[in-house]
Amino acid sequence: MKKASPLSFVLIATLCFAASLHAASAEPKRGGSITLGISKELALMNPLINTSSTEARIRELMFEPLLARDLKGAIHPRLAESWEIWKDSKVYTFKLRRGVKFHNGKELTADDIKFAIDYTLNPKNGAYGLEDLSAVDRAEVVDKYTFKMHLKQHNPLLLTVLSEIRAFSAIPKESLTEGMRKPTTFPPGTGPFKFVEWLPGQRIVFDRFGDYWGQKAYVDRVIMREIGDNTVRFTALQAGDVDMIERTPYEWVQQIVEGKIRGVGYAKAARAGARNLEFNVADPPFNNKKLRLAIAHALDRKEILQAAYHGLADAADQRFPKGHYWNFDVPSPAFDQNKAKALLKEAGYKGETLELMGNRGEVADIEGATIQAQLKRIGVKVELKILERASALEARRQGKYMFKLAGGSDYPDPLPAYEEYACEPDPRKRRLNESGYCDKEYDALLRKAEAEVDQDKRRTLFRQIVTKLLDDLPIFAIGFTPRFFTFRDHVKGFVTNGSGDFEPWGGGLSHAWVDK
Amino acid sequence: MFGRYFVQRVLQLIPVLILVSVAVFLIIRIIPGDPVLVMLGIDPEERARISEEQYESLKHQLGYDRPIYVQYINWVSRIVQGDMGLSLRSRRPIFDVIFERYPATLYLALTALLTGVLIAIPTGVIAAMRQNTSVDYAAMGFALWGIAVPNFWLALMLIVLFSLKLGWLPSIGYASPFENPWLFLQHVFLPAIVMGTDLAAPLTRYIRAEMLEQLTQDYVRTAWAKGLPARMVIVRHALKNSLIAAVTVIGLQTARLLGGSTIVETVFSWPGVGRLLIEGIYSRDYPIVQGAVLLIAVTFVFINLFVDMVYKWLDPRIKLE
Repeated sequence: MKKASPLSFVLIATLCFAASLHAASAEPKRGGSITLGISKELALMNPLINTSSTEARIRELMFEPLLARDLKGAIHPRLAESWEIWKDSKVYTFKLRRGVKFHNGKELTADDIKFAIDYTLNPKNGAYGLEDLSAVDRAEVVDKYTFKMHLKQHNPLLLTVLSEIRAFSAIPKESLTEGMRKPTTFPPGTGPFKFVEWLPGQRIVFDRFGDYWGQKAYVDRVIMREIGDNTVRFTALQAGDVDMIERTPYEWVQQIVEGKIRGVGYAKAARAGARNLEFNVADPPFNNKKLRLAIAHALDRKEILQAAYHGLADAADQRFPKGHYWNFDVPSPAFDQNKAKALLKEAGYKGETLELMGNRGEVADIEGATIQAQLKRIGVKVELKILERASALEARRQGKYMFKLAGGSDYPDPLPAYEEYACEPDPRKRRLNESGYCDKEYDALLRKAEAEVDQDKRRTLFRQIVTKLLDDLPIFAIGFTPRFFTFRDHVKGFVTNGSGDFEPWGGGLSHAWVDK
Repeated sequence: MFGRYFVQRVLQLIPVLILVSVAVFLIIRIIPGDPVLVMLGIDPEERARISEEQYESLKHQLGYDRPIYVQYINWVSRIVQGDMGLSLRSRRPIFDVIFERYPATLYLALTALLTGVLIAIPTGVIAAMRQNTSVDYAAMGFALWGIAVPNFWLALMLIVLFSLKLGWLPSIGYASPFENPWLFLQHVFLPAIVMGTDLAAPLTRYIRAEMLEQLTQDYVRTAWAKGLPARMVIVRHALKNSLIAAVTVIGLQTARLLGGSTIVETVFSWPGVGRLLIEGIYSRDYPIVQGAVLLIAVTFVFINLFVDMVYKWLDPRIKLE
């Protein structure tokens, strides 16, 4: 073996030092492009209508809502610089930021905002935000940079809704026509990226918008390529055909976490979905509260999540995670098999088989099998009933189930989240409240919370609401299901939020840069 | 004679096409789904997002509130006039949506066809010439494997080998052969191999079997006896006659290839009709599914007709019962 000369040691040491310097240079660089592997093809080039997750992604890059919500949920000015609330919270006056340019070079004015609101409120257009803006009576232009929104009644959610792009986004006046015929290209937006081209089935291209009013994007270009198959999408990432992908399957993420796959990093959206066990409380056997409570004490959330989500999901006992503004330190049934057995006896359970319903195609079979095994330990027989999505939906609407595994959405405000358990007129035609839970006291608390403007008082009310729900237990929260973006090591600075947006305020693709 | 045969065959197509259109129209409706919600981009779980009145008015506007046979008649009468309707999701004409995807499917089908034939003919002929030798066993082993191996598995394995491990070829994507032929070849290579294998496997067996039969015929013995060179005997005589059976297989496979392979196109993110169909089914975009399936079915029917004609031309003894 040849001896290494002292010179080569110096050389290696220098190289190592240079490499560490290089790694340490976290200073973002401008330029380059990021190719994204997305799971669904774009269908519609209308930012006010929703059709798939891909349109939502593109909206985030190209368009902007009036207000911003940061990664912690606090509301900030965005296109609207300031706002005032008048007349029992029924009139909102917004001042627009001056000098905001659309991608076509025109300046954003109050007329444009009024146009977008009117378009959304017109039922002929089928806009997705119609429901979100249902409290809005009309919009009124005061001057070039000022407009008012008149509400039919007080709506504590309005500012939250206006910070979401699905309610509506700023587009130039007259850039969309009334009716269901849809545009053949995107109207100009005000966001950090502008649309370049779409070749169906091949790619969608966006360039950095040089005149963006806020922090301009680092990369020159973003290219989206649809790769429907999860495995192929991840393989394309590993092969270097794309730089970043969405919705990475859990098994791959687990391998990255364990260090088995190198050169790939990930960003976690911890609360992209929620998993709950919901009881049909209108009918036997689960109209028996003690039985519900027995089940709740018998379940070990961690074990269920470990089995179904490779240990990547976080457990939860409420709709909002620990540490969140809307999470409360209130008692909830803890894992305790002895207590469960005692409650089971009190409930008068005599070994009947309980049917657990779930949707096919989700992980309900794994979750269900784990629950089945856990309940067997306290002597409860469970039969799994995994149905096609549409059949499961029908059974839920008609209340024809005993208990079920269900998904939940990530709500920015507790009102819509807890409204899901408000009384409904017909227990055989359930709309939002699939549990069939109906409690006068609970409803009264909700109505108070809806009318309350003061945030601290709202918080007190919601503490009572959550306490009541955890006591009556129509629903047993299991945890939050994460979603993962994975990217090659040369993609730096990408941050997502809890629900997994591409372009959350203060993060996302505009903050990402390429280090090649 | 040929003309009459052609007219007879075309007349037979009419009931076939009617049946096809009914099937195409009804099949997508068997799967649960709601066109109004699809159009509004509302998940069935979020049905509460729209009011009943808005729902009913849109349903009426789209014509989905009429009896199913009225919807069918309207649909067919529009199709006859060349109007396949609008996509529920993109609101673009189905005709445009399908035909912007068609070239990609066509190029892939032709490349795969060529690949398949180039593999199958020499393999089949050589296997027949060397019957019961190791060459023959290897060829038949390949054919058996080709028939048995699932498309998606082969596709994934090729991606792992050529893109991930060796880094020679891109894993996914597409380029037009007229804009960038070199890039097209890089992209088409793997999907063409997968689809070509699918075609070559049964074709090899057919050609081998036919060749074996032809090689025992008198005219081949005569050809050998009069001292023709081997190439002449094999290619000009035996192979030409073996191809009659192969034409049927090739024809039917071509029809299948032209319909776009949903699996191969999906795995390789190839922007063809097959992938469009899958997207349409997943998103319950009825008009897209109906349009794409109709196109595939009609292609199939007409290629069949074409195959019959070629058949008749190759062997004028064929008659219609």
